Amino acid sequence: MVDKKTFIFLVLFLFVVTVGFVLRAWDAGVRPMHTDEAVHATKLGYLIEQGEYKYDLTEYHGPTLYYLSLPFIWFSGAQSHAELKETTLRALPIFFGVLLIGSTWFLRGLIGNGGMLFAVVLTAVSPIFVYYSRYYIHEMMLIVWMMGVFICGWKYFCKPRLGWMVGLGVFTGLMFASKETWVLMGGALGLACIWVLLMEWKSGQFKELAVIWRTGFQLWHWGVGVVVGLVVAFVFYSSFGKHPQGIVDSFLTYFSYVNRAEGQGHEKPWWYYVTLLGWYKNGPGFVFHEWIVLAPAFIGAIIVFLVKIEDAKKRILLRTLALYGWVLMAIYSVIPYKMPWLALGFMHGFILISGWSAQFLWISKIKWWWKAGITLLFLALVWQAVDFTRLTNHRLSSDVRNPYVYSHTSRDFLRLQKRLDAIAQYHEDGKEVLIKAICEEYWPVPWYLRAYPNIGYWHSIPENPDAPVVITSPHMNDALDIVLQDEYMSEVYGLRHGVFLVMKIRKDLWNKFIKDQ
Amino acid sequence: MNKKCRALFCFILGLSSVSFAGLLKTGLPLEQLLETPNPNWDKGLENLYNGKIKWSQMPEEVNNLAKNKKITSSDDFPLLGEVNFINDGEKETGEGGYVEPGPSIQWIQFDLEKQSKIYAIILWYYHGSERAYHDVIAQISNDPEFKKGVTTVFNNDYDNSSKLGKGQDKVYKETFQGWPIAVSGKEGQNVRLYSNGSISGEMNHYVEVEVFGR
Repeated sequence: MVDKKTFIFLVLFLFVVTVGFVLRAWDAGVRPMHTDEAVHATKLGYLIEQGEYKYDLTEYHGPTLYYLSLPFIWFSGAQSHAELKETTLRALPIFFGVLLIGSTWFLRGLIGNGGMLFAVVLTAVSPIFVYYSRYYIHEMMLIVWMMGVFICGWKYFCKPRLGWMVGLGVFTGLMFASKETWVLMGGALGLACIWVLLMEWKSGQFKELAVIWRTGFQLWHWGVGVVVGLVVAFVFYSSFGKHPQGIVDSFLTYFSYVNRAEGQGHEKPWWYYVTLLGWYKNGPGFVFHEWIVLAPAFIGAIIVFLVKIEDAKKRILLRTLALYGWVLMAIYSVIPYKMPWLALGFMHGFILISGWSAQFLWISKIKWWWKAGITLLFLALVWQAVDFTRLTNHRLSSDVRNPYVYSHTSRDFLRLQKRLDAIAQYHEDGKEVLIKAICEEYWPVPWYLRAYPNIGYWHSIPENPDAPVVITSPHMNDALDIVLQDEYMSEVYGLRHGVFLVMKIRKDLWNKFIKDQ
Repeated sequence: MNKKCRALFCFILGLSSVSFAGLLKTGLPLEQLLETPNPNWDKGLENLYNGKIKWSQMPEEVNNLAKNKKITSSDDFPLLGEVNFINDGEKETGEGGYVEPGPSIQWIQFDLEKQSKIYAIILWYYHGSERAYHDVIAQISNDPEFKKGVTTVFNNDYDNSSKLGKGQDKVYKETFQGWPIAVSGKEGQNVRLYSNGSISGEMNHYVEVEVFGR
């Protein structure tokens, strides 16, 4: 039987989780597929159709995304790449997004019931968390694994049982098998932990540290944890034993990712994340921010080092958690390679310490009007965050004024698919019509034209470029016009912001189509 | 003199105005492609958007009839801005420069208050980044509902995707110079302008409209 207080928290918790689910799942297919999503979908397509997956050490990150998508694919009934839908793919990050909210429940012992509820609200409504919970990439999954590390680490730290260590190993292994940036997250956590322990040491807490060391670190447990972690990662990297080379490649990949950290076209200044989350304005009218998370995170990071927390384990963990977010943000800010979704890692750390700070302020002896004022401010920020979430996930879901849009496919591009579907009906081969895509950049064309089996891709003009439908870039359009033997109707479509494609439809086909319009 | 030279000339002299056929003068905003221009644009798209207008003679005394007139829109709650931005004389695309009604096909409409002879309409959609708007349609009618007596004076909806009839005009690229439409004295009290998103996205952005007539 749960007590009345826990029951109330449980009801509120379930309500917020439901709100979080609705925000994530509502019209999840509305945003066009980003190139990364399309590439992952194509790799998943190979796995579905041919049962084959081989880890590529140069690209695409770890195998978990594809393997863990399979239950959702089976549930949807899709048998091939062509049958996949945006919503089916995005069901996976939505699931992990909701799991992330829900898993905060297990940190009640660390951040308190009120703190848990506060953190749950922040995770549920934070625009960046909602946006990337509807995005078919590895990030949300990686954050959930990190949450698993936090929970098991916290539990093991309090009571060093083998079960928690096995859990720690499993989640670390899953992080390893998901994305190479896990080393930065793990590194940030390690650095934060060392920093806090040194602070403890400097402040003369030797006895407490000695007790923690004796009771909390059974070496053989850690050995088991490492083995479990490696086994989990190797199972995925070896494609469940079918491709052992994947295990070797899972280590060799870091040579390639060290080069990538230099930028490779994604270089941004060190203050990128500060402006992205603190005050983002790209064009008239709209300003976006994540102060709902940043403000309590700042407060929390200060309070946790100022106040006296008697319980040494709790003190060490909370301070480690507070530092983890800032250290990870510093690491990501120093590295030239930056992507908006990488911010999720440190934002999650911020949310957890925000929860604790909210709980602390609530039970502290500050005047009631301060509490009332802070509560009102928080509710106003929640309201604003929900509005930002609505805008960033719907009307501005692929608009450059949205801070989380990164080289995103334009909604105008959806017209190309629609046009081709209409045109194909006028060709005797229907969807088997021959299509030649001759352009430097064409992703996510393979996703949108996945129902067309007779499509080929060229980066330069082939010997015979003629086809009923030719897709090209404005840059190659003139040169192509010279070599094309047939007459074509040309239409321009936006691929991404400032990047366009030209679809050339052979005149005889076009005339048949346009006659009926 | 081509458009670019004309714009440069005007800018250097600080005149910020352009004259069509020596009869009509309008102010021009600064050229403000906010993003780095796409190096591919001139090679490919310029050739695709080579629409040229046929400018007709018009009387000497024409005024901007749209100024201070009532504007209505298909979207009562635009995502950004207000409809009166469209005839406030501000042609820049910065803060407060344009109104953004909802996605897909949308219209804005001027009530000129009395039946007028219209000789030219100049449209400025968003010109801060490279784009062309789909299904740009300009209509004149005495009927505020545009159900009867409708004269279409410009229509580049070549595939009838907006279901307002197939147009013969060419798709054009937005620039700071706007897009002038010759109307040759068509009569009407209301002017309605449609668009159906752009190659940059599904949203519509009206910066300024001038309706010259008397």
